Amino acid sequence: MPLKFTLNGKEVCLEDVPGEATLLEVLRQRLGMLGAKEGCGVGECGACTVLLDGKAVDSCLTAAWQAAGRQVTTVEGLAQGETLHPIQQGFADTGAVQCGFCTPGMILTALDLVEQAPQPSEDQIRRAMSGNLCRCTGYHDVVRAVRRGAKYLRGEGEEQ
Amino acid sequence: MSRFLTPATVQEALKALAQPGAKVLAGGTDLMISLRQARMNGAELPELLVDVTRLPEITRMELDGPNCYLGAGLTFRFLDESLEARRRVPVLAQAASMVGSMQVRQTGTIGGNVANGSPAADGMSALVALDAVAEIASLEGVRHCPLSELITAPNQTTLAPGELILGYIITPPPEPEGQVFLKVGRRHEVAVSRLNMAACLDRELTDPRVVLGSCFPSPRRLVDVEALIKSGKPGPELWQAAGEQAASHFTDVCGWRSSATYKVPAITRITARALKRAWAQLEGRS
Amino acid sequence: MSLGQSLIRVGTQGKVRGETRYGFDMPQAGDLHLACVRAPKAPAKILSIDPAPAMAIPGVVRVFTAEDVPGEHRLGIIAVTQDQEFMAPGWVRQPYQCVALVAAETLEAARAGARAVKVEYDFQPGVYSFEEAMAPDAPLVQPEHAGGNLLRENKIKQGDADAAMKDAAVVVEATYTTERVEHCALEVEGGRAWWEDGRVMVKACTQNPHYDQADIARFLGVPVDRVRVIQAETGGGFGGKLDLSIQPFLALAAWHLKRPVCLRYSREESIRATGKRHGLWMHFISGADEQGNILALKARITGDTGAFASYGLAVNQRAAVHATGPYRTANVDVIARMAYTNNTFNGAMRGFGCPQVALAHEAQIDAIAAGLGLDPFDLRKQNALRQGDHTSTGQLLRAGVGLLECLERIEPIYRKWKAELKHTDDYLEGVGVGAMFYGIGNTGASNPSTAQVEWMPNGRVTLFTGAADIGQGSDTVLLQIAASRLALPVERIDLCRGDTDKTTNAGATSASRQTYISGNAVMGAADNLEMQLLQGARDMLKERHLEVELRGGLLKTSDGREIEPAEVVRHLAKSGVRTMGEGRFDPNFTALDPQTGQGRPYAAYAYAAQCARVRVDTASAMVKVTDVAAAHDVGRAVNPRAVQGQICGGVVMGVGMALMEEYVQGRTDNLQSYHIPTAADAPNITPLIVEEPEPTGPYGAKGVGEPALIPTAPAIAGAVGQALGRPMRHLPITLERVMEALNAAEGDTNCED
Repeated sequence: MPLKFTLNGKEVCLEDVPGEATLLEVLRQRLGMLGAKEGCGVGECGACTVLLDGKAVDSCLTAAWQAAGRQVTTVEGLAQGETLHPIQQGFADTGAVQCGFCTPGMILTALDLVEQAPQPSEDQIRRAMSGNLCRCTGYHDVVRAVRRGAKYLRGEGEEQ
Repeated sequence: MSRFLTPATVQEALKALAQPGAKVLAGGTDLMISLRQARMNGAELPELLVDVTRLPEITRMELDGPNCYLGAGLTFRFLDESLEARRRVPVLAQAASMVGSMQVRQTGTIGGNVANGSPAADGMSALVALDAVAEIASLEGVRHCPLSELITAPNQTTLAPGELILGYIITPPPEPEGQVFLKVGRRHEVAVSRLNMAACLDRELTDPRVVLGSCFPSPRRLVDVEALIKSGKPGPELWQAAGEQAASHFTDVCGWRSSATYKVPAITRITARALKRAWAQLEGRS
Repeated sequence: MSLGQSLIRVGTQGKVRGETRYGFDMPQAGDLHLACVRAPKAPAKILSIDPAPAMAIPGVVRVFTAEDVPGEHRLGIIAVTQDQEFMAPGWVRQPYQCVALVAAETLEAARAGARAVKVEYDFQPGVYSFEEAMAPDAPLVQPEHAGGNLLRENKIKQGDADAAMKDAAVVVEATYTTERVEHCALEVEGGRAWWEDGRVMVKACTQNPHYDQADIARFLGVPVDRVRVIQAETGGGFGGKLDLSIQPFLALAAWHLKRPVCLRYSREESIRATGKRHGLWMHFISGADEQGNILALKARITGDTGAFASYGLAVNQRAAVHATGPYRTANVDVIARMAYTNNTFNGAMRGFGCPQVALAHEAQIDAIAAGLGLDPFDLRKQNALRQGDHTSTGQLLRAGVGLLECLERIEPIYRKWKAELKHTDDYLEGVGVGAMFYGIGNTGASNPSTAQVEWMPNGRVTLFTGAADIGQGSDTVLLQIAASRLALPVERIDLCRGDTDKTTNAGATSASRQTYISGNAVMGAADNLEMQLLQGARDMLKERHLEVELRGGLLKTSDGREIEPAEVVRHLAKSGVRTMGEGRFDPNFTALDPQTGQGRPYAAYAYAAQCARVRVDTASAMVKVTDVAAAHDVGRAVNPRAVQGQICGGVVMGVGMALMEEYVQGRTDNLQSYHIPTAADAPNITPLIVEEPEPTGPYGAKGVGEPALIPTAPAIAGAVGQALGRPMRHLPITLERVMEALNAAEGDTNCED
């Protein structure tokens, strides 16, 4: 039986996906979605975060078949052509991107948070983002980035 | 290579689980780690993975009336965000909010948490405080087992092959406003509990619940501490005495091992803190 | 111009879109996969390696052993200690050392092959600590090394510490320890190699492509030009990607098999197989007069570098040189000793020994203040290095000493926090201070960088640099320097970076050196380019004495003509000349005297001061660092936001070092057991930039990468110590250590009752 799900708005259909395959493996190896990274393989670092039906999950801890019939969103699915998604723009504008390896996962977790809490407090941001490890930024600019992205998403333009 | 099945009904799930080499996937946050390990080591994989998370029956939550019930498929994120859970079983909602990361809470379930049998499982401590009795199904029928009897040793349970936890019949303490869950980890989020405590008090101290986790093979109600509270007068002295009793309970069971130099004072302090806060919540309501 | 502007880092768009391809992302369909066979423990003699069971697995193509290494077995970044065998040649010196390499058509087959290779070991007695290594008759870890198991002893002798101690009004003595720390860059090591036109191409994450090229060539026994190394986008390094890791394996397999190969470590393999920060043992005795002036320091430091020296020499030397901290100390007697053991190796990590000794020198200042009843902050200001002072190596600090200003910038914050301190039933608060100085670049050794800037015939400009940007932002900073020097917008300049075919050696991205050293090389290249353009313009106009200047992107002559530089470039191209400026910079230094450690080891120093506020939970003993204020003298902030980013990242790495990070070989080899701080563990940070220009720096700039981390752990240790009323001398400050102090503190209180 083929595995079918919606990836960034498009139906995908994959043959011969073993039960133990992680969603991360399938995204990277079968679908070329290299924006999802593997930083630990055990659900600690969040670099593999994708949205499953709009909610952030560690794709390294998710069996590919758990995605069957669902909506999978990776970082590649966010920008509309030249225009970045507001959350991506928030990260780009605040210096929250240093080495950038954790950035795709960060952006997707932030998106889940902000969908649920359009004006998140600093404490909410820090708790929500704690499943996404970063070794470069000290999270200082990540917090600013999420705030800024939330603001863009609310259509409020640039934060001073 | 494992096959993967997403059954539509409990009956279908039980049939699948009756096959040799079948394994429940109840969220996957522990299972996928062990599969990764097995793949790295070239160890054998389960024949069949049975994803039970889409069974509608196991995501039922009933918190009012005499028959309170929590489906095994409820996720930590759901419980963390559910206003009903916050209102009626705050000790579980608090514990749920402290499990892993937001991503792990999104997929991790209270069924998987218990079946995995980790001594440090936060959800498990809260469920023990709610006097949870697991409802366990197999093709042979349904059996009921108190959580305290389900876990026999770290990561070992009495669950037989072919059995599936459907949910928990719970008996919440009378007053939800006196419930506290505390967790100690090596960092502030996304940490395994070094120890955790679920504490519930009611105004008359008729049914206190004190559960200590990550200190025994599985989280445990400290009945001697509860008895002490029942017979005492609420206040700092009682909470302190309860803390000391909790610590001596720990050393009685576990002996004095090296971890005790931290755990004994920490258990004393955390117990007293949890009870103080639970009582303060009650007083805040009056 | 762009200098001093907070431009968004180069490459940000690709990173937020998920389009950036890291070393980790290099594997392509059809590549062979590699897997290492690693020894379980050490030392051991290898009695036999039987590849047959592996070769029997479908998909396995080849099993390599040391016999397949055509060149030098022993590699290493520091020329005098090239001692790391990537493929164990008959014996194993450390656990997890690679003994064989399997190439296969799939990752699964490669891993299965690696498990199947049969290796027979004869395990030998080994040494696993400094003390064991130095015991008489201890088995030798590196019998080839002349000093037995002692890798190196570094001494700093100035004045007469023993005599000065006798005059001191207060003498404080204590022992401090730190543990091994894992870099934990989010990207694990990954890359790809292939065979092309008789050469091996390696594209992998790295902090030093030109070093990689040189050592890979030695490994393969070929001239350097037979190897091309391209730095893949690198997801953090912090020193962990300075040593070779996967590159020799990739190169060896591609060399033999003439096929593309890929290799990626799992997080576990990354943690096991790469270097760590050295844990140090530090015994410090400090003396001060009644007014609190520091008179003398006597320090003994020991460390364990594991089975391979890696950067052990650099760490040992830096620890000795920086042991006084940024304080005037006329009488110094420091001996730092580093030994080989059979543990996995320790190497470079952000700060090279300085974060470790900072714990000691800052706690000593606090102890002196306590002993004299003086204010610890005032005492730091009083003793702070100033212009005109000498360091413990006798180096005169001529200019660019911004320490006092750093202290002054954080002082109001520190005073406010101190006044606000609360002790409740639930928690105790404390504040602490840390300060540091840090020599930029290698210690008492040449470490040049080179760069080129070319004006292209199409009017664009290209900057060529071998400097590896690993996320810290050197691409952006070097572009800003070039743009400023040429008075062009940054957008006019393209970057060619980190490819050994196209760029020249810029040295390692380490020692906080790229802004200062490569920045200077870029300045030099731009200077040289300008000169060529001016010369070319005169040549083109056939007026040898015409005054020309480069302004606003145009060549302007004294008689009012304006010429597009590209016109000159095209003119020069006719005679086959590229208009490319060359730059080279090597900081001015003198080597340290081996007996006294006296000399001028660095041309420039960075300075910093930080204060931390913590809250200690009285029930759990958990410590929350609530706030950190961090003032850093960076000379000149070429890109202030990038500087702040470095500061904040360093601070949180310091939080990890202070509170939770401890690598235990064999026990903490994944991210479930090795914890780094999350967003919820990170404090609120106030990054403050101090700009005391460094006369030899590009536009006055020096470095910040490592300084960002160094004062944090000492400030936190001081703060926890203050909260608990007893000094915290051992890192990390675990739950166990805090609980012990809490119990002791309450014991004290009870006695007073």
